[in-house]
Amino acid sequence: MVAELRERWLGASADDRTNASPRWLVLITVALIAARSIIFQYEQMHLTQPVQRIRWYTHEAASRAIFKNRKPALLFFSHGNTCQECKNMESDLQETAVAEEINRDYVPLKVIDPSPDGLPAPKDVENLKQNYNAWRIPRMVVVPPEMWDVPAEWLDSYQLPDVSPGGMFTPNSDSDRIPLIVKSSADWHPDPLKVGNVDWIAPEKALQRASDAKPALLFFARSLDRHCDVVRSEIFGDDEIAAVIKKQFLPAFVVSHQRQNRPDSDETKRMLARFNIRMFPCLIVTSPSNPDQVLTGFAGNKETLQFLEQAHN
Amino acid sequence: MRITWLQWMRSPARLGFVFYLTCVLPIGVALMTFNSASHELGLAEATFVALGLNLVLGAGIICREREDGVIATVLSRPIRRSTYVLAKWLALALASWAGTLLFIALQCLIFYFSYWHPIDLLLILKATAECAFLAFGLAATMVALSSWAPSYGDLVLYGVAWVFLMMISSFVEVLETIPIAPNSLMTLFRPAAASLHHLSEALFAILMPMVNLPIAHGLWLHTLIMYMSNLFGALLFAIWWLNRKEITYGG
Repeated sequence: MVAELRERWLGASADDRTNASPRWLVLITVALIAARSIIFQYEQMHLTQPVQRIRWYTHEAASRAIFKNRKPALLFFSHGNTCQECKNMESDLQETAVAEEINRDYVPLKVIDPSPDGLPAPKDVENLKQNYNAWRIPRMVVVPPEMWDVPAEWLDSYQLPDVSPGGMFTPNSDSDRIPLIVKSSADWHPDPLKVGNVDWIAPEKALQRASDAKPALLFFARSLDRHCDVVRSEIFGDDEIAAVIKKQFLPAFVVSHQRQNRPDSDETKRMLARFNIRMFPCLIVTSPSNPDQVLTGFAGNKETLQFLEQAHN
Repeated sequence: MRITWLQWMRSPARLGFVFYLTCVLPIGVALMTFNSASHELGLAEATFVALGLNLVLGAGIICREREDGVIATVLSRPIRRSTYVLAKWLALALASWAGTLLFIALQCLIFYFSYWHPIDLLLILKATAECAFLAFGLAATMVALSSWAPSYGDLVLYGVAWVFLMMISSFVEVLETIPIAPNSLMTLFRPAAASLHHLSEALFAILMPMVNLPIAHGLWLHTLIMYMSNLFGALLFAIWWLNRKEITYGG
């Protein structure tokens, strides 16, 4: 019986036949397939919890930490334990070196979206998903402090460094990319620990409260514009400039999406038209009785500081 | 009748494609991807070269020989069919890997003489090892398909499998993306989506047996076992299927 089955399925009843399947190959293959099945079953039964090396913040604590420490937020959108892809990505994030870097340079916030389990997502989770275009989960987004907690229309499609598993078939294929992207995000925002202390307020408020003693400082930037990113990072990351702005101006930030062929909000359109903005980045100091002072492009830290001091005087 | 590699390589189309993959492509890729600011080495394209070489060199590797009777001549000597299949696999894997190494070497040479910039040895080793994984894994898949399909059916099967994979994946994507109200009938599709997701992952691992290095901590055993089981499974299938076939002249 065994010999017959062996001949039927393995094509050989004796090793000296030329159509015999090598036994070593059969044994190795069977062992590997068995091991694979066991591992698969084990993973399904015991969805392994990654070691928690990242100190996740709550939403409120994250907001406080971002404004206090001027660190960028790192949002990790996940479906929780029911999503193997999310668990794999989190497992990669929890690697010792990556987790250390995240804890040191970012304010990490895990956003759990329970919608795949048929549960409605909380409102704040829906807002975060909408603001940061996190429709494909898992996703990781880095948000610079200047862009945290600003109205959703300002953030609409703003180019934020993000990562999601590109290969939908191989969720682990991006595992070696994650540290790289975390690093490049940090490079994009050169040194999060030394990002000044500019507290942006809404443009309408800045214009309403502006006086000759404390004029409004409007920063017009364009999304997907490297020059604007550099000004945000280099100029407003300078502690000296940030201190001058804090003391003498009411800073407001206006983002246009012209480069993406997407309509700006009505408020942004009004601001662009009112100040006749044609070039980006553009700094404007405006007060009720004095003429507007304009500085376009990246002038450098020293020149920008001079501009601010002259504009205030 | 095709007998030797030399004769096989005399096909102008194949020779041209192999020349393109190993010589023209590296220069083109070098010119396209070299960035003077970042000094990036375009090694990611090496996997595409390994894939292309495997498909070009492996098309009809067994089935064509079965069709034109070469295999009958070879097996008229006391050679085990398993030895024949394993030799085909090894030859295909080594040939495509060698072509990829040539590509990588050319890339490095062009990069070095363009910028006189030191090349990161670890990057080269990583690309070399990843291409070896792909070359040996894909060669096993091609040999398995070739032992089963007639004529150039292995190439057709490979393409059809990709189309099937795309169909499953797009279906899974739709199921996972559409909003599903709690307690609705649509929630029944969730398990189906999960099963199809696993199926698409398994199929992709067979069609594109890649191992990305370094393998993340905690996943290396799983990844290697998956890769090796696919490779050995494909080889065993090829041998088993060929053992069952009656080999005659004229297919």
